[in-house]
Amino acid sequence: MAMTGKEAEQTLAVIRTLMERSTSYTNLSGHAGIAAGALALLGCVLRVQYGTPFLPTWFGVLTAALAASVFFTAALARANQEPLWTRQSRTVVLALTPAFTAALILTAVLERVGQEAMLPGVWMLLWGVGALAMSFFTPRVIWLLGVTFMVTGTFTLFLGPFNDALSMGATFGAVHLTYGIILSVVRHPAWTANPALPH
Amino acid sequence: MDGEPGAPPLMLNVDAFEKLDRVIHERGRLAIMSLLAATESLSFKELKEHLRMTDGNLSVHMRTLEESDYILVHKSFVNRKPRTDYTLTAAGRQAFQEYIQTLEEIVKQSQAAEQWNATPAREMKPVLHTGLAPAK
Repeated sequence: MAMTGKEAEQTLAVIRTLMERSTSYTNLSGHAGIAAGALALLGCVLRVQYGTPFLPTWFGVLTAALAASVFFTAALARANQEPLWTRQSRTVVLALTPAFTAALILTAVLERVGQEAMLPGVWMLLWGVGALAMSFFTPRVIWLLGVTFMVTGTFTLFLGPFNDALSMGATFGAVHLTYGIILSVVRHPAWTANPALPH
Repeated sequence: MDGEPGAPPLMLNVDAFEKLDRVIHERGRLAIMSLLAATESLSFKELKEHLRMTDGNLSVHMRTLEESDYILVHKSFVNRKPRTDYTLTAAGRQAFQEYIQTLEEIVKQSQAAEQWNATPAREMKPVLHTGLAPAK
């Protein structure tokens, strides 16, 4: 049962890949990120050019972005010959749920007390929290996305309120576009590997 | 000049190879152990999807691992359909960790051997290999 150093190294690499495959959610679609960013920018245009109401505009953007995300993720899973609803995707959705629920509750509360202007900062902060929770089971790029949104959310809440079209466009628009491009174009292992696993 | 003709060859420690667990060393079973080591438990269906093995092939490997006390089998019914889940036992997890450590040991030894072979002769102690004192 002899084994060369090279073979041992290759076996360790295979073990790592298999361990990653069973824990890490890898069906992250760059197109979904680009679509979410483009939809947020469309929301900015609607708010600035046509003066559409605050909450219906951003809820419309959120709904469309979620639909685009499911569509592109399903397409990627199909391309990878994997089912969409797996243990890993369930884990990611569960990790995101508390932050998402908190965002919905705070939206209702702040809307009720007439503090709508605070909402972009709250959404950024909680999307950052959700992304960081997801990042335990996803590639590194999600961790960076989470940190970026937590920083911009904190900044917006302390120094704002800013014009919502401006702040939402710069964060949910530009940041998501950048994230989508990194995922679909760059796709470097340093960004797409799961940092929680041993090298 | 690379290496030295008269230098004693650095032998790899054969014990490291002998330590490799024969149950885990088989390709299919190593893949199963790797998947189970990273999760709490996996169902037969999930393992099959990950590994793209046939039912028969996977069943044989699972039986071997079960007989070695490396995995625990849990059978249940979900929506009236039978479901089998597998978990690594403490012995299985330890065997897997030891297997990884042995592989790492082999890699280290191999790197040390390569380093030895790549060392130019002038950097070696001449007295060791030639019996001559270095020329001044």
